Amino acid sequence: MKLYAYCVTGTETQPSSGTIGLFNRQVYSITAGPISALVSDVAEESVVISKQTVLTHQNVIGSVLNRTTPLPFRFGTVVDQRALTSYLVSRQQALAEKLKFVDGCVEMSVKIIWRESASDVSTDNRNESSWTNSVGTEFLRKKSVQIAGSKQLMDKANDIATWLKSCVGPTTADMRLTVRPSQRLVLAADCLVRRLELDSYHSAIESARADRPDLHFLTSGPWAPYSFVNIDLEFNSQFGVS
Amino acid sequence: MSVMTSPFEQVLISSDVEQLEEADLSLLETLDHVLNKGLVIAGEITISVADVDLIFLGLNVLVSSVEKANEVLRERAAIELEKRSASPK
Repeated sequence: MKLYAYCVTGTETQPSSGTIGLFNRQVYSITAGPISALVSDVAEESVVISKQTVLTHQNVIGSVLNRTTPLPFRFGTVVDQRALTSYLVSRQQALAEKLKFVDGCVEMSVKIIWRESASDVSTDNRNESSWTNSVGTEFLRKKSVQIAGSKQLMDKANDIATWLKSCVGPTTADMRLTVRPSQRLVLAADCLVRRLELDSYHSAIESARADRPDLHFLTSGPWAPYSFVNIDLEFNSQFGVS
Repeated sequence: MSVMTSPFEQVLISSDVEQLEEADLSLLETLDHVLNKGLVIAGEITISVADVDLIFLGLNVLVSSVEKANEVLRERAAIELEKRSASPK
């Protein structure tokens, strides 16, 4: 029998009695030292991604998040008990440090989208159709203008990222910004926010929204700190494993 | 190597976010977190897809589904447009 893993917590956090996980199985904890993993049994070879399974995964983690801040596993983590215990033991220090780091926090997400299309934001791309019949030096000129347009878009997105950081940053414990000014998305920001600072965070977002009506904000949360638990990357760089 | 895009980006490319319903956005955000991020035990992610409703949301681990996702989104947008133009002003 394999286990479906939901999240890592301290040993003091047990699943609420009657918490039901995937395939209607009871959620329970596996403990290794000061760390526990919340799991349920799974007989299936793979977990089908469906609205129901994704929401069940999220609901189990959400039920823990109501009480404390867990380290969530990615959807679809199916593992045998020996491998899970080995993972918890080998990463014990990193997991404990990470639990301490996110303690009392939740993840809040912001995505900023251009209200106009990216090609309109980068005005240098507007006359592209007039170059379609050109060759040679015109082709190179077109390329250089395209590159300049992309750079202009990137500069604008970076400016927005800096601005968002200055607006919201002071209310967060950590922030991960992904600037990708392609198509519609300007940037995605995942913010680790102390629960006590949530009101300040919401106010900062509302002020930012009011400051920039030219941008569309999509906000969500609270989430378990999905974006702040890259234990393996840290483990690998610490121990030189590639 | 294919460039991975998140479910969000897939939808942004193909639709008008301001027209998406809150439930769609909520599910999309859940997918963005649950499928893209979190602790990973090497080699222990075991998933399969059987739900078209999620494929249309642009599941990034299945690059081959992106075309299908766009197709479904386009169909959806066309249906919405038809509904709107048919409804009385």
